[in-house]
Amino acid sequence: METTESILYGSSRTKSRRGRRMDHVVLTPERLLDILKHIIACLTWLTIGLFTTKGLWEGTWGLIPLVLACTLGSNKDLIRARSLMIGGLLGLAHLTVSIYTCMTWLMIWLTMEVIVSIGKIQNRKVVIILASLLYPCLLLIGRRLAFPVITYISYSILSSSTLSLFIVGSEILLEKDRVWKPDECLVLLAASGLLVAGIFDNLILGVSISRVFLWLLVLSVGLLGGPVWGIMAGCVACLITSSHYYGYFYLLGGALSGVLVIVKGSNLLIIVVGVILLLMGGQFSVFGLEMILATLLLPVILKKAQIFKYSIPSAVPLERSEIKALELRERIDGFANTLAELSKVFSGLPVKETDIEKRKLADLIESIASKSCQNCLHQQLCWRESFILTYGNLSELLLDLETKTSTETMISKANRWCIRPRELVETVIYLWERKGQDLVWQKRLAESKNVVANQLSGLAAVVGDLGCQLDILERDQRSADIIASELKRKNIMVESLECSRFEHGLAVCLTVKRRNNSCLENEVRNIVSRATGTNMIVERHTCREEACDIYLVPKYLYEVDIFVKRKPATGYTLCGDSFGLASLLRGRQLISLSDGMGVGPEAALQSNTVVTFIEKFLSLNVCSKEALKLVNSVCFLSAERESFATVDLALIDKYTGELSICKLGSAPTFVKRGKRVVSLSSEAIPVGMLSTLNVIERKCFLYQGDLIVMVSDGVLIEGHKVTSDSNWLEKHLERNFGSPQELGESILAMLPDDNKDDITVLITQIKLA
Amino acid sequence: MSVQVVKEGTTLIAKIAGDLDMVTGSQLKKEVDQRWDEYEKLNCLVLDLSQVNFTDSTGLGSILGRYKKVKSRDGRMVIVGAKGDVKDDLDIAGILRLCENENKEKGE
Repeated sequence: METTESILYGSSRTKSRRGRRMDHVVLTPERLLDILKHIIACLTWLTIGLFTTKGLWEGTWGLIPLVLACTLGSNKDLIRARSLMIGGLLGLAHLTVSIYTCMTWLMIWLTMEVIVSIGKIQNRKVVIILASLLYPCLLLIGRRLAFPVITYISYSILSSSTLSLFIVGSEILLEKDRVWKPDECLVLLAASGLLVAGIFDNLILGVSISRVFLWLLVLSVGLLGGPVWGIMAGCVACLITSSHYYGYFYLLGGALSGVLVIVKGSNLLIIVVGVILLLMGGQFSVFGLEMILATLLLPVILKKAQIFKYSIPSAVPLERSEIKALELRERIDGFANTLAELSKVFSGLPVKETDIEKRKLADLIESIASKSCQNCLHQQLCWRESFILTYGNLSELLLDLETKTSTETMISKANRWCIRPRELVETVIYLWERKGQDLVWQKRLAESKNVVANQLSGLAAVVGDLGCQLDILERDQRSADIIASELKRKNIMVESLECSRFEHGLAVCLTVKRRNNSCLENEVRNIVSRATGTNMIVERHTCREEACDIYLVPKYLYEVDIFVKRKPATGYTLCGDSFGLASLLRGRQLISLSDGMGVGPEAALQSNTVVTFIEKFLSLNVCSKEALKLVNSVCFLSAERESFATVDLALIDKYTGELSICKLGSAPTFVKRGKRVVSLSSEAIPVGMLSTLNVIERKCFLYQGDLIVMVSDGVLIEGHKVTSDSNWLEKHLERNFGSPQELGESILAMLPDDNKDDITVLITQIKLA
Repeated sequence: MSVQVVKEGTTLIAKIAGDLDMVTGSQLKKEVDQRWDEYEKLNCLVLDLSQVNFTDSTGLGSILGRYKKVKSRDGRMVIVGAKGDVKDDLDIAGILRLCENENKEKGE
């Protein structure tokens, strides 16, 4: 720390054997300004000493000068510490006009000098014991009173506890870059209250300085910490003044200032209240004046106290961004609900199939009558005079059609009551088939509606999930501000910074300016780790020309070791199997394997589409089930011809080791722990074949060393050819293997060289990070 | 390898012999679709896989494709005679489960 002396004399000062000597004094305007600043600081501390001795005389809170002096002294700022003691001495002399009191003060000063020189304030026990002994002595000598022992003990307890409060408070204050606990805040409030109350309480033009400072304390705490802390400060002020007359105003002022944080121009409002009180006359007018004075001083205090803003815990009103997040969530929820409703509308649209069933007979008979009997000579006879008989005969004919009676039999039957039986039967068959075609198309339409309904339902679930994500990713503005101030202190320019909380801790997303064209990834990681008290890792990192985007999360508990190898079917250069490995945000590891129908480029295209879409959807935080349903819909709608792809999807949570697996028409997956092997079979059809999909998600927890073995069906088929054992892979896995690579190579070594189907082996091992 | 398709009333029976792979799968598709489209009255497809010893993903695709076609006419598909690995493959692909449902419905 640069002392006043070094500032005064500068670096050009040299030391001789005879003592200190000033060789070259260079007094630049900047140096003069520094000197002036230090003089003002010394005078300020002198004034504080002068005022606080009043408290010292009247109550234990007057021990502040000793604590402050020791604190300053421990920071090697003896000039200020001594200024304070001089101020205290003058104040005491003025107040008591007693040589004994002054001598006691000098004794305290000496104590301070001893404490500072021998071991500083860190040894708080020494200071507290000394204070508890000295303070009653001071009162005893100064007031020339003979104390009974019990009074002496009481004063000792009071002085030691008050001093402890101040020492603890000063230590908390020094840790301004962290969020204080509520009890620490209360200690600070109590210490601040005692400090303010200890101020020399002479009235200047009828205005109490200590009450102005109390007002300042209450208003500034309310504005920084919100209404709850404002009220707490009001309570402290109330207790200190011991006056219900002012107490209500302090409480109200604390609450108001807290509430008014979000209202611009709140200071003006307090001034208006002060003016009203001023105009009321009597005690109120003085109080109003004190309020106005405190409000006018408030900006200066607030400017200095901003560094403590984010150390005050909770009870802070919502930041505007958080309010916006809530609004956004409501909108997203609304959107999701709308999509769900739309989905219901689509799936609930009437399908005419049932209507056809009901009206089929009547419609058909009417159509047959109008088409076949329109120009018949017997129309009048059949449809007017023998309507019931004709209707019954035609119904019977249609029944024959349904029971697959031959055309000739139908004609011979119709010949009994119709003059043109062949023409009639042909018409009946034609119209029946046409209605059948209608039915097919209506079924297709219904199926398309179902697809759209499913798509909308899936989309609604996705959007709903996004809304829930806003809950999970709760913004943490306080951490963001602490990190921002720490980065600023280290001269790192931050373009944007967002902190959010998820189930495993804090996620920090920030953009920082590059320094000397180099990325500050490691430096930022270290600073954020220190500021948050968590070992953070960089999960995403993108370097741009001038700035870098960095995404940090707490360090994972597990990491994965992956081995993958694939081989196309003999005669093909492109493998029809595709795999996807992606480290998703917030510690999720995606492992997917897809086997496209057939071999070669078409199969590769199909499987690659599936793998790509899965990764895209999961990157957007869509859950596995919904992602697979959406992929199925995409494949089903896009497939011009029959094609499908199997899916093996595994998601590993690297914080907990939780594995979730979804299998669609794929070969079994094996989970190996030691020599124990568990086989997980598929329970659903592959994607792209049907419009609907029933996805079953299975979950389990993995431990260090566990292996997940995924293979395409080609591996099982080709291995079966060699071993003639359908369970060959499961038996093979029961052996011991050192690493995924060793296991993978051993599996591939068992397969023939000329494989008809594509082969892919994907092995993942989980281990401690 | 061969695919024989026979029509019996409203049922179409496809008997497959050999490996059900890309070649047989295409043949199955061609033969079955042609007959299925020809007769509108057909409402049931029976796939006899008793003489099939191997099936790959293309073969499974051709079976699923026929299932899709049959369902579009509100028809039924029944798989008979599947055994060993072929049955396992059909099970893994979820096809047997679809057909088992059909069998249940049929039983009802």
